[in-house]
Amino acid sequence: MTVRVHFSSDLRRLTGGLTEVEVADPGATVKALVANLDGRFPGLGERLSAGTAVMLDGEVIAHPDYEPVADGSEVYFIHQPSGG
Amino acid sequence: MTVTESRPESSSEPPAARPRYRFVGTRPVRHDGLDKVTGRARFAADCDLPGQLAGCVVRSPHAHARIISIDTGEAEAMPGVKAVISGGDFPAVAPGDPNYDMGVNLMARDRVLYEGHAVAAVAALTTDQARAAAAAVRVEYEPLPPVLTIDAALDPAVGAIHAHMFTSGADPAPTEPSNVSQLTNFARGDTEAGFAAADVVIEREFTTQPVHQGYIEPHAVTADASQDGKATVWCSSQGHFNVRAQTAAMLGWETARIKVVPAEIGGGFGGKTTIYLEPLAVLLSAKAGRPVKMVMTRSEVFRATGPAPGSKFRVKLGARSDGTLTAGKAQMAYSSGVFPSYAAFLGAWTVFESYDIADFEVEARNVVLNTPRSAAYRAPSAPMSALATETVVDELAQALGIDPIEMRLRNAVSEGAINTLGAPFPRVGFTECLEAIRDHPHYGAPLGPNQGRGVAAGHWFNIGESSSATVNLNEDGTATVVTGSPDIGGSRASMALMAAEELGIDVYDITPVVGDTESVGFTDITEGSRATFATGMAVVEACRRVVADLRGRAAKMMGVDVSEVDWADGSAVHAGGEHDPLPLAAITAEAKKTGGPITVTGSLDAKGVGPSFAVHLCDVEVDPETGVVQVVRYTAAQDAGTAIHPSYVEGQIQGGAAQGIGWALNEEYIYDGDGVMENPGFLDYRVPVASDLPMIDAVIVEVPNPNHPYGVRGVGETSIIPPLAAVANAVAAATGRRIRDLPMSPVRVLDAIVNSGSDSTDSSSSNG
Repeated sequence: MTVRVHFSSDLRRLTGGLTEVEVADPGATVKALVANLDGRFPGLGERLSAGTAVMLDGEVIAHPDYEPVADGSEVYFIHQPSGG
Repeated sequence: MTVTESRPESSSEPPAARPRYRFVGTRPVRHDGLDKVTGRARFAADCDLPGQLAGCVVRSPHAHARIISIDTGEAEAMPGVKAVISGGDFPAVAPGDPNYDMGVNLMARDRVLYEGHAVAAVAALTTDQARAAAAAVRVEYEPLPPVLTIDAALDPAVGAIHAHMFTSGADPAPTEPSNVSQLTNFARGDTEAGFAAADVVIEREFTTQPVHQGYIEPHAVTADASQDGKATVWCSSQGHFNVRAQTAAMLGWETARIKVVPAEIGGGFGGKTTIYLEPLAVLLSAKAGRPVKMVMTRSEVFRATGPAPGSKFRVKLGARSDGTLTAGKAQMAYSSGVFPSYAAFLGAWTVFESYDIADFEVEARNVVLNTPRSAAYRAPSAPMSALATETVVDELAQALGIDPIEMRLRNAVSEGAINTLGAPFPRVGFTECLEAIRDHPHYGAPLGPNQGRGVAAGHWFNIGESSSATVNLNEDGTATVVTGSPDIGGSRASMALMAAEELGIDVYDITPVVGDTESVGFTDITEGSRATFATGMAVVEACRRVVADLRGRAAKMMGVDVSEVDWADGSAVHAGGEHDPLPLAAITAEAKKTGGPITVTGSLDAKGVGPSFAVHLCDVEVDPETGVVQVVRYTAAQDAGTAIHPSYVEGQIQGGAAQGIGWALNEEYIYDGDGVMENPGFLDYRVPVASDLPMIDAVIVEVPNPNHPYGVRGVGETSIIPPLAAVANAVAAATGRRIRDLPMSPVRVLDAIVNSGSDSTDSSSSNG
């Protein structure tokens, strides 16, 4: 299983400037994916645990830890969306 | 006026008939309406408790200063004074703590960071005594140079307000502190190639000033701290669970020690998604041993709460001769007051979100100033970004000789278009909103002398988040629906309508209640236009579980298996027809014999939000001698998905349009050179009043959100996005002058008419 992960600008210094990566065997959930990414980009896991939302296959999810990821999923880590 | 476009999930499928609803889409008088119009409704300042004290805040006269000392001795000795607090009475916070910004904003510690910043607070027997004591608190300041403009904040030579703040998102990571708190970049494709492919390229600069949410009800709270270490807080907010959590965090208390009782809210618009007074009142009450009531003056509301950020933009768009947008580039800065915010991110997300542009670059900076910490205001950051984009799109249409609606139709995003973040749009109703305005009689109506017409669009993504609802059936077949969402825009009526539709009983047999933090499950803030969408989903979920329970009870009463019992029109119906239908009231009357009370809670984290679009059409008349702009006709179309209560959808559309018109024409924070606000009152900070505006014709477009049981999209915010550009485009049409610095006050408009200097920093070009 492979998912594609996109990084916003404020995460890129933790990813060596990469804007997106493909992750093979990412685990079953966003939480597992984050752990996977932290192994590749040390410090990213802690940063993503601090109130970051994801857009997963077009759906913005504010609390994504246990959301399942599937083969071909597109994942964007973004600021927690908010409103007035 | 309602335009219904009911389609299934994929727009490639043929249109389906809209579901026939019995209650959803009707316009009953709101359940809380009588109390509201007769003055019986209790707002935050209406709470009075026996023995309560009056609280008052001591505020900084300086925009930036070091606190040398605070002497409360004289104040504490004054008649009637029962308690005085200052920063040292709160738990210590350090840079990097999650609570640092809010904690320091509530009460200054070693520095004051804006004029109006709270320094101390007192509680006394009367308001006059509290005010006198506040004036007697001696604070020695060492004034520091304030940072007051976006340009100053962006200047590396200007000292950083916060020594601990380094620009997030900068690459490489900065080594020096900065007044730029965050840098956001989005990009797609090859922007330069996109501009090279354009026949016309237009680049413009825009500025807007901070504006306040302008709610009529000032912030107010009454707190009663008891001797067992708990406290009850009465206040109005956009989310009392959030008030509880933030107050507990600021005091270092466990959440369970605080109960928050929601008062009616006299307007919030995003400005009541945070706290200012609640921890102060609790602390004063705990210290004094008596309840404490605090009510801000209007001046305090302006100087210490809100506002929406100011902004500075440079936006460039290119288009082919057929109107197709080929490329976009935006450089943006938002001022979020003295602490960082997410303003730049939201602006970067929304600036090009309405249009299908293949190649773009967006760079947005959030800067901090020595002005009040900004707060959310309806669709935060999007009105400013739409001002820029929608004005340039209008100019492109003009340059290409294309009708402005047609220009937008040729570029509008639709289902499957890739958004700024890179994900595909779900089914949206932008095209339908454009068509609704194009086909409206207003669009082709003749204009008078000195009049002009402008059009603009706006998009908001909306959010879901967590909501809870409890449905209690009464013995006589009536019901109570308790939710945790404050009723800001008629949500009681909307919840009752959805419950009535599910249960099949009359909407007036349902009592919708806003429960306190101990009476209903956790519910997130009412923000992101989420209440009718998300809390409505919780109501529907609870009602469907009630119906399942009712079917089981009816099966027991009929002596049949539950699989043989359906629910229709408020009755349990035996599928075989061998038993008479059992109305809901007949089942609740027997509840004690069939399993006891019928009460069900629905709680969820709502997903499947439906993005919302709006298109506004504005006619203005400009007095060429004074520069006064009068809005003479205004029509606003918005996709509501499904309007649960059309009157309140129309109200949201009209309210957002009115606030946006004020933003465009009059409203701004005005500071003197020392950072002292010069217009902290409604006489000098002029919001539109009824006599300033025409009737705003609200056109509800209904393209149902396939992910909501009734097709709801949020409607509370989108309506404030288009007006800035719609008014600006109308003024340009009336005067032949583009004004890109808001507000378009008479002085500024007259200057543009007389001097036509507004185009000096802009450029436009034709390729080939």
